Amino acid sequence: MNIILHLGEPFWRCAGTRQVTVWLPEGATAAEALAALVQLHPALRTELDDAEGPPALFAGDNQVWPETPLQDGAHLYILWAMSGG
Amino acid sequence: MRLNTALIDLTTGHIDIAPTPQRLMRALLGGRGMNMHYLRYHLRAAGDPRAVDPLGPDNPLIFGAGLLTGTIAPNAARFNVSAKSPESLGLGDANCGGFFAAAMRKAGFDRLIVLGRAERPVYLLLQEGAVSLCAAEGLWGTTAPAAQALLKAAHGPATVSAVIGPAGEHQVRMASVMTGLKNTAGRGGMGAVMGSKNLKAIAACGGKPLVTADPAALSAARKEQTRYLQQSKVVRVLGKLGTPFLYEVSNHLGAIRTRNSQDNHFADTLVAAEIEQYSDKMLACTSCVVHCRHRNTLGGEGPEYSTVGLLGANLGLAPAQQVIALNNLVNDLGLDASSVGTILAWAMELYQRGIIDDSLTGGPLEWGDYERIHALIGDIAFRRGFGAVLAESTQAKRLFPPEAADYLIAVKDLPQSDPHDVRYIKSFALGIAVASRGADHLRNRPTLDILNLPDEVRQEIFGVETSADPTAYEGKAGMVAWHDDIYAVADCLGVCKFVTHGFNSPNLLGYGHFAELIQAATGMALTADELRGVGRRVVDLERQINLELGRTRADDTLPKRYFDDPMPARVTRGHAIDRAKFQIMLDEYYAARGWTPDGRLPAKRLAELDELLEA
Ligand code: SF4
Repeated sequence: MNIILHLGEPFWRCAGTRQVTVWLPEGATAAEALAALVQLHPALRTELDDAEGPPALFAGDNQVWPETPLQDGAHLYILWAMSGG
Repeated sequence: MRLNTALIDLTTGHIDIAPTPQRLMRALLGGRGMNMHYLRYHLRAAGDPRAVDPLGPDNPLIFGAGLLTGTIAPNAARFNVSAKSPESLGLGDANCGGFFAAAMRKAGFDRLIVLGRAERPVYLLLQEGAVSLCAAEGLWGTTAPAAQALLKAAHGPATVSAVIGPAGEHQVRMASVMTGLKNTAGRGGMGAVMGSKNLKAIAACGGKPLVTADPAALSAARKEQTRYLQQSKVVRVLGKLGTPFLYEVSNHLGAIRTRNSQDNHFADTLVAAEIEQYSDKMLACTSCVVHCRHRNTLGGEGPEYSTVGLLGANLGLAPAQQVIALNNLVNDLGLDASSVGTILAWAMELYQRGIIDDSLTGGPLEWGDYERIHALIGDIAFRRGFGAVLAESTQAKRLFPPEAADYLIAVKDLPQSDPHDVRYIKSFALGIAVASRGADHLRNRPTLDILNLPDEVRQEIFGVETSADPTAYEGKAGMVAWHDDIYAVADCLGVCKFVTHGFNSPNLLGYGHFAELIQAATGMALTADELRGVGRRVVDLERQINLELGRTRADDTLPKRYFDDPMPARVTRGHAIDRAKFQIMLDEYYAARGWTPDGRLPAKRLAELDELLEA
């Protein structure tokens, strides 16, 4: 199945693109989608593993967790959960 | 490093200068805390604080630099401007960065307390430990940047000033005090108080670097703490993108205040990458190690996330260029962008609903109508036409039909400061409900609440059990109280929130770092616990000021919409604040603060604060 990953600030800057498509086996989880993303763009590893909180993940309008299985064609948004400015 | 406090009576022209009392320094440090002490003292001295006219001569206007401001401590740039607020009619206090506060201290002053009213426009000149009262006729009528340029021309290029623009002169209730192109003491209408006193500006020039207790230790602490801060991702991202990077996640979540919170998400045209197109440099305040402020190519500085949200999404305005132009306009005129964006959106919804019409507004008031918004902002600053009504800010509800108040996004009559819709994250909702100056995120926002931090990390930070679920009501009170205290301490020190522990990151400067800096700068030894004690004292003092101004538990509440209207879309869809659960959170919060169930200070605590008044 294919998963379309949307990279928010500041992650997309490491990848040089806002959108990445990865192909994964049926039933793959959000964590596996992230692992595939990091394989394609290794510079993202430290950004995504940052100790200041993991990225927030959304499949469309639903918040998902690393262990959440994804559907074929899912749009997975990877955003930095920040709020104060 | 103890400087002077000047008491300036503009009515008589009398100026008293005395060293800042050591005992108060230990109890309240400086900045916001000490300002609150003097605010309480002078409001009581005027008789009944409730009867003091915020735009009358009895309202004290206090400019106080943080205890570390002007030293090399990281991000120690800030000062507070405090008075009874003409916008909320309660406690008024605004915090500001830039270069003015360091210049004020180098000219010899920790604090200026301005009383009375000058007969004609004046400005204060601070130089070599002296204060002079100068005629401001040539300055009156100028924009904030023009006034600063004239003061530089008059007193030399090193002159740094805090000024009001036309909005302050016209006593617009949401007028700010400005320094530089964008640094704003924005909240609560402190610019209107300044205008009511016929005080156009305070200019500081000359002076020498501050003498610190142990320069070598201070230098070592700065080096070490800078290294620590630079490991933080949020510090790095702020230095590159500024606060507009926050728009994207809020918008995706469905937490961006849109069209007066009728909607909760808006266009993607206002994300950081779009704002960046108009930025040619990142700027900093005194001693800052972050550099979060954009210089924009339209001739100003900014915008911040708050401005992007409130002059953009909240007004239904999508083009980034137009939002930046409005940002520059409010700064030039000396207006608080948060209040302007909230009040204009309120008026637009009232017009949309037919609660007000052309007979009052003088013409259509449509979402996203840039030309109309631009013109109205000018009209607000000069109190022209319908602008004169909006210049009353939240107090305009007295001029509108009664149901208008149901659509006002304010707490304690202060428009909400930031563009985050708090119906989803309950700790944010509690925070703006109890913030001493009204709906404001910089008093206590528990920004860590959405980081999904492990239980043990939260336990270690907050020292109390908290819930990891941002939508839960349980376990939020202690979190908010913890933030109250540390943000109060940062404001007393003059340190920016962007490097303060708990503001978007658990890896920033905490009490231990602050204690090290205080000892090196002043020689005062304070433990981390004693520092948190200062934070508690400041929050209690502010509570007491609000009580003396007639506030009660009933004022610790939220806009009606946040209780009654579920959020319409996206991840946050369906969320609102449950009234009964909110009251339980409030009970828990008062308990966490050691207050009585009706939100009052226990007698023993009040006696301690009263004793300070004698200092
Ligand atoms: S982080 Fe931004 S607001 Fe804070 S001191 Fe630096 S430039 Fe000023």
